[in-house]
Amino acid sequence: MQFSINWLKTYVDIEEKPEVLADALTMHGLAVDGIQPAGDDYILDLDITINRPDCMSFLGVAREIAAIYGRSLRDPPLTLEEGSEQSDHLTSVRIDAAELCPRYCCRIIKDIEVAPSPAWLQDRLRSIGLAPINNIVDITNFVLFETGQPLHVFDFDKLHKQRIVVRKAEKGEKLATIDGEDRELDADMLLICDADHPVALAGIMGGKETEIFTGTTRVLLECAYFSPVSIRRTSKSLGMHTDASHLFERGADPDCHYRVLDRCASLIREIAGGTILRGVTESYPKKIEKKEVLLRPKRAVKVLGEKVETRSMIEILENLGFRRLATKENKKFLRFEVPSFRVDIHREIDLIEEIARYVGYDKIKSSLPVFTDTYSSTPDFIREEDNIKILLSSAGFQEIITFSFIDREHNRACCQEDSLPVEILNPLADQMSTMRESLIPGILQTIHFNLNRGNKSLAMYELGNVYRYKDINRSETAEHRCLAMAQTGNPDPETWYQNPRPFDLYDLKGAIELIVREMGALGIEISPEKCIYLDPGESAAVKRGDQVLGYLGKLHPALKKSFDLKQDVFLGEINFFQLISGDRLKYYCKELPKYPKIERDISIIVDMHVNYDSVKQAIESLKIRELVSLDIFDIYEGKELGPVKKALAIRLIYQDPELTLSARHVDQLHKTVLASLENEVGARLRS
Amino acid sequence: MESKIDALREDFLSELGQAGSVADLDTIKIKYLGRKQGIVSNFLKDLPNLNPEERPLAGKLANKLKVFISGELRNKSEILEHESRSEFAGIDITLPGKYCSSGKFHPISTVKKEVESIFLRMGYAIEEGPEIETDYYNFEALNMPRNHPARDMQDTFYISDDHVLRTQTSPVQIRYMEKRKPPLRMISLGKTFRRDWDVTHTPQFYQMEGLAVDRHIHFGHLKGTLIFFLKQLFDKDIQIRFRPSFFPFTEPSAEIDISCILCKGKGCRICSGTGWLEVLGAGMVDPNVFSFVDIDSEEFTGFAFGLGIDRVAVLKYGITDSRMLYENDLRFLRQFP
Repeated sequence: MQFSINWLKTYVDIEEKPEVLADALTMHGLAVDGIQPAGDDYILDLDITINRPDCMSFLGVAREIAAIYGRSLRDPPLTLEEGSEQSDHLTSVRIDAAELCPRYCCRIIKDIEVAPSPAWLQDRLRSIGLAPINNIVDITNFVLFETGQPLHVFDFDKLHKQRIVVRKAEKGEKLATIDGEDRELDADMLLICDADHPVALAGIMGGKETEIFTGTTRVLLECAYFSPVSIRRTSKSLGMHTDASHLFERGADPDCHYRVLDRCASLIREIAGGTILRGVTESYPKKIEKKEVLLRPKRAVKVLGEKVETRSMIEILENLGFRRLATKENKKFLRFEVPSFRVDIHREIDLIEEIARYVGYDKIKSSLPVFTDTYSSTPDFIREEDNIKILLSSAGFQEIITFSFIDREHNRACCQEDSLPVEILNPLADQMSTMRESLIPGILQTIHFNLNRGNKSLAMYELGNVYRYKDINRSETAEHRCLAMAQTGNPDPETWYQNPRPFDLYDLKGAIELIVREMGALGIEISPEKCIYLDPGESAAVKRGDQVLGYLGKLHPALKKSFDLKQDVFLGEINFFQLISGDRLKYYCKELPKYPKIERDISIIVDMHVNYDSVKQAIESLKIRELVSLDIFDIYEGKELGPVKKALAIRLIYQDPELTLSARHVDQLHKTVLASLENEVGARLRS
Repeated sequence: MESKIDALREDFLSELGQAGSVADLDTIKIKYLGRKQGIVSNFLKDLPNLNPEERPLAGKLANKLKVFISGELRNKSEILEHESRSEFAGIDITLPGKYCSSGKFHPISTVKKEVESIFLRMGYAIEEGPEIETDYYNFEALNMPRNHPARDMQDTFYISDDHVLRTQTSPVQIRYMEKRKPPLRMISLGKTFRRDWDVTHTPQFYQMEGLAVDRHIHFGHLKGTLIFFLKQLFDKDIQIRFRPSFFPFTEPSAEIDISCILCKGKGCRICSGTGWLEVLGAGMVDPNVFSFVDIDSEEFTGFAFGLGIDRVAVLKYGITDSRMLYENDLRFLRQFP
């Protein structure tokens, strides 16, 4: 909001340079965002917080300046000259909705002449970026910015039966507003009406019909108090935000109406001529009480941690317009009457904030607190997350963070389970309308983005939440943390020591095994299983028993096409919380073996379709106590083996913790291994 | 006799130490072990001339020396040979080493980690909360009733009438206080969402929320804690100022500025010429918030604060367009620690 320093000077002396004044205002809570020179004037751009509607006016800001520097505030000049005709004889006000409009006041001025404003008034308005319209409108705008109290002017002769009725609208009722729109109203919206029709949307905008025009000679000047909630609801639902609604919904001064009406009426008489009718016509069905607030100086000291003298507290509050009242009952309390314009002050803590503002936040001594507890907990998963992220970094994966909202179709295309997506009612764009049920679409989009920018070799992961409704009722949402990983291109840059090779699925499997191994997760298995976003030929599930934790594999050709990816992508997604919640290795020191190990290699030929797992099973099912490890170290396919055959070379290590194994014993064990391989997977020894 | 042998050994060792080539070694070998004039050889040849009682010991010692000298010469010759070979062994250490791949944290995660570690050092707990929140936790319990203009401060994504994408991490405060009795101190970092999209705003961003509640917490503690935090996060020499502001869930409320880290407070593009950067919002927990979670505000006081993680990343790393944080161009992400 813009404030001219010259205009402010009409209410309070300002000797300080603009920068000094700006700094003082900022440090008292009226943040100055900018200072613009304008001729012999400076314009301050103030960011007034929503709790201070009183400072959304020149008098309000001048009041703060006066308090900051200990100067006096000059009220605007007032020389009210009324005619003899009684306002009450000509008009009346009836309020049928006292909850929404506790107070309505008006004055009537006759024989005015609508004309352009004098230069000084036009200049004032222009200085804060307002365009002058005519003297009457300009004066009400001027008084609005001077006092912070919105006013409205009706052409009095256009009011049916020249009466004012304040009531709620009926559903479907219509009103043409000044901005030329036809508004259809809802029940509960507050209206200003004449004897028959609505003439204004209370506190927001006037009606077209009763708007003043060059031929207007009699005006009714409205000055009222409206319920902030009602104004806000109406302005929101009609999408109308005006200077008046802005102030009313934040809370205007409930006790300024006579003063503001008198000020406005005398300016009109002064500038547009005419006669002010005698008296204010008013309806005030619901008395707005003055607020009183108690302050315990001790409490203020406790909250601020600074020994502020009680005397200073009183001085600060009195300078801000609070009136100290007598407190006979208890010496520990100070009682203050809150000035009517301070709609933000209801409680002791509000007074303490005022004291803090004027003591100066910078003056309050800083220290670190001593806590009286002896423990604070942090959920395990936060540490687990960090560990896994460090592992993935050192395995070459770059972390990415993508938006949680994605394209609806992308979401559906990658959702392995029944899709129950959470949709955003007011998304920024259609492609950002659905809360992701999987991290895969975000990963694919990131790959697409990078490939298009020439980054052809990528290894990345994202650890983040996915969202869905818990069930078909769509009442409760659930969030799961997932880990998605993807690789495409080559693992190493082109080097002088080896030929480039592309990523394949074993790279990704290796990374998942790394995580599982390092976190000590037990019972995790990876076995072939189809998945919606994976190529059916290269797709596997990560499982613990029957529970599927996630999938890994090669990207499905259909998705590869729809995301316009020109190279193979290997990727997977695992439910992170499920992954970390299973059985884990207990870290406890084990004796190292004292006796030598014996290595035996075995080379077998099996049918092509026999997978390694069944070979392993054939050996492990023997449960040989002395067999401590089992590793495949070569796979060979060649014509000389016979059609659809392959050769596997496996290294077995035998060791006994209690004694040195004899070669004869190992030979025997080894023979059972070969026998089992022959029986279980049809293997024969390769010669 | 023994001393004579020892002297010989010393002489040999000192000559061996000075030998720099295989040729030097040959000379030494001839000098000590040469068949015709070698010192040790001669000594052995002279043995028969010694007293019969001296003879066995002298022979033993001389033979031992002979074996020692040959051994030392052999070792040294291996070393020299190896050294001369290494100079031409074909290692070009100026070639790049074999590639060890590595990835990095996203800059937001890096800042998040840093922030967490500072508060962990001060004994704070870390807590998380849901990203899809109810209206109650995101607004109501934070003293922002429906139809309150404070809601205009945050443009909200709605899921339904009473579910939103959380606009701040503050709801975690409420959930935390509901579950526990004070004293307590915690931080919560996570994703938040607002309906904004321009150079300085993304519809998704990260926030940190902090809360401390105990019997004697006051505004000076809030200041001390945040000064400690900001100096650790940015630099110990930054200027920090606290100025009054408004948040619905704290009172008194403050906004905290640090002197611009780019221009050191002189005024530049980053700080729009003011010399200050707004980095934190904070305040004493409003008694209304305590009443929502059944904490007696007469007995307990507390402070709360909030920080934009993205904003810190943008400031620390000089990022000119915060939208790049979510585009994930790997060349962009790899620039940061």
